[in-house]
This record gives sequence, C-alpha cells and structure tokens, in this order.
Amino acid sequence: MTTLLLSHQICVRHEMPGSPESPSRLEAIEQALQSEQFSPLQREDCPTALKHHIALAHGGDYIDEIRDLTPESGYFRVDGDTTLCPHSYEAALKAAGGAIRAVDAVMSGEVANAFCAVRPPGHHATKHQAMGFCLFNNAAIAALHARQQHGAERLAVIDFDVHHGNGTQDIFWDQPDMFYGSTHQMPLYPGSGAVSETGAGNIVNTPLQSGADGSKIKEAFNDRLLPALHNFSPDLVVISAGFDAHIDDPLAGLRLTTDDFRWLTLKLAEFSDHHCDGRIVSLLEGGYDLRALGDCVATHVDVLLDAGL
Amino acid sequence: MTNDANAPDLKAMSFEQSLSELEEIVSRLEQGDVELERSITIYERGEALRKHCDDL
Repeated sequence: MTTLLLSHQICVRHEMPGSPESPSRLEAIEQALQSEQFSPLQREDCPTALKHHIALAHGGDYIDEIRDLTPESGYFRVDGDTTLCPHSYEAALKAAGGAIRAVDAVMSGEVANAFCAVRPPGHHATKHQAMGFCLFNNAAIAALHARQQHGAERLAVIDFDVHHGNGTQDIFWDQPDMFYGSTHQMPLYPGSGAVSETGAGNIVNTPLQSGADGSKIKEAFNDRLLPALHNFSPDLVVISAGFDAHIDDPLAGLRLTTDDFRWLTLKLAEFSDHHCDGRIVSLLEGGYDLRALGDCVATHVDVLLDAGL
Repeated sequence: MTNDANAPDLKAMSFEQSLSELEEIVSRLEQGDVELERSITIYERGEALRKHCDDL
C-alpha cells in the first residue's frame, strides 16, 4: 500500500496580504515533492467537505458565519492574524475535505497513510472562533469523522507545531475518547498549553522553552507523549504536522533540524504500526521558512511512504 | 503596547521601566493577547528586558 497525498489549487488561492501563512508555502511543498522518490505517492485533489463534516467540530452557525463573512472582493479581517479573501471559504472546505478523504482512505485500508498539503491550517480554530491563520479545525474534524463514519472508538491527535493547538484542545476538552498531545514553545502564541491543562484526562501538553533543540523534543516524546499515547491506545493517529519548530523558522524560537522531524515521524509511524495497523492521517499546520518547510515535508512524507511499504 | 518599531532603547531604560514592560509582556503572552505573527518578536523583547534587568 502507498501514501495518499491530498492537495488542491484553491488552497493556493487563499491569500492573506503580508502574512507568512502564504500561498508560496504550498508551492514550496509541491516543488519539494516533485522528485522521483515521491512517484509512488497516490496524488489526489481534495474533495469539498460538507456542512455536516465541519459541524462535527464546529456549530452550524459558525460555518455559516465564515461563509457569510467571506467577501466577494477584497478582504475581511477576522482577527489580527486571520483574513478572508474571496477564495478562503472554499479553500477551508477543501482543506477539511482533504482530511475527510484521507480518513476514509486510511480507515478503509485503501492506502497505508495520508498527508494533506492544505491551507488554511486548522489547529487554532476553536469550536466557535477562527484565529491564528485557522478557519476550520481540520485535525479535529478528521478524528471526529473517523469516529462517526468508521466506528473508530479512540482517536488521537499529536501536534508538533511550535504553537499550542488551542482549538483542538478546546474541541476535545470534555471528550475522554479523543486524545490531544502537543509539544510547543511556551510562552508563545496562543498562550495556552500548560501541563496543568488536562481536560478529561485526555490532554497531554509538553511545553518547551525557547531555544530547546531536538534532544528536548525527543525527551518530551519518549518520556511523556508516547507513553500517554500507548496507554490511550488509539484506533487512528492524526498528526497536526507543523514545521515551525525548525531552527530556521522566523515565527518561533525552537531549534529542531530536518532530521529531528524525521525522528518524530518515525516514532509516530512505529507507534502506529504496532498499535493501529499503521493508520496515520497527517495534516499540514504551520511552517514559515519556505526552504525548511519544503525539506521537512519531503522528509515527513518520505518516512510515511517507507512506513506504508 | 510593545511595538518593535517604536520600542524604547533598552540602554536608556531604568530597572523599574524595564520590569514594568516585562511584566506587561508576560501578562499578554499568558493571556494570549498577542497575535501569532508578532508573538515571537514580543517574546524576544521580553527576553532582552529580562537580561537588561539582570544586568542593571
């Protein structure tokens, strides 16, 4: 079996003027995944998520609100970081649709695992609020869809984006069968992610200080996240794959190398192989240095491809 | 509000001024009252203020 790669051109047309969360991020990834080693990927365009998919994580009113706020021309600012352009609503539906298709393909055994190169990202979007470049919470939607549509009982989201996924934590907060584990720099945006935030016992936050390198994140994975994941025993692992903990990233102060992201992906692939038949759905979150982003995604997808063989 | 373009030069700041701005930064970071795009700049300003306080 192979790895499914989902993306869509409309995700490139979602623009926020002057923002580091730019269309060129997906172009850098597309370029990085052009080489021969990625020819075995099963490449597909994201389908459009339906309203009932989005409603798994967000209220019906919220979806309509985002649709109604999307301008016919020009821009509409939702928060200090997040702007809607005429293509944003459609791009957000494609990003969530990619997550839905990835779950369907992985849970049915059609592919071994999947990576969604999509934007806008999702992990800051709470039940009722778009923020931090995020409109719909793609990772939470993926996990909740796996439960509703495929009978998975226990779902885990592992988030190694440098920023805490406050939105995913908010959506999973009182749901003991939905695990959220995060490594992130703290203090930093969005301000949440302390060890003391544990939800229904299903939230494991492992904050790292500015300047922490690969050894610290490996320690966090080996000592806290992986044992907690082992105890939780998920039926599917969803990865909120942000690559902004890279040393070259301009928006944060961690010092991971591309090889450290290989290690993180390998660990999650090994875990999934042993505990849930290798089922992984990985979704792009942050990562703002274009060269580092391309290199890291190529490395991440390379490990997923190997794991699926 | 701390702004990277008009933040006062550290060298000209007293201990009290530095500590006051540092406390404001820590409070804003903890409350999430900082945009994602600017939070690293504000954090780094806080680190510089902390070092300045230590050195005074």
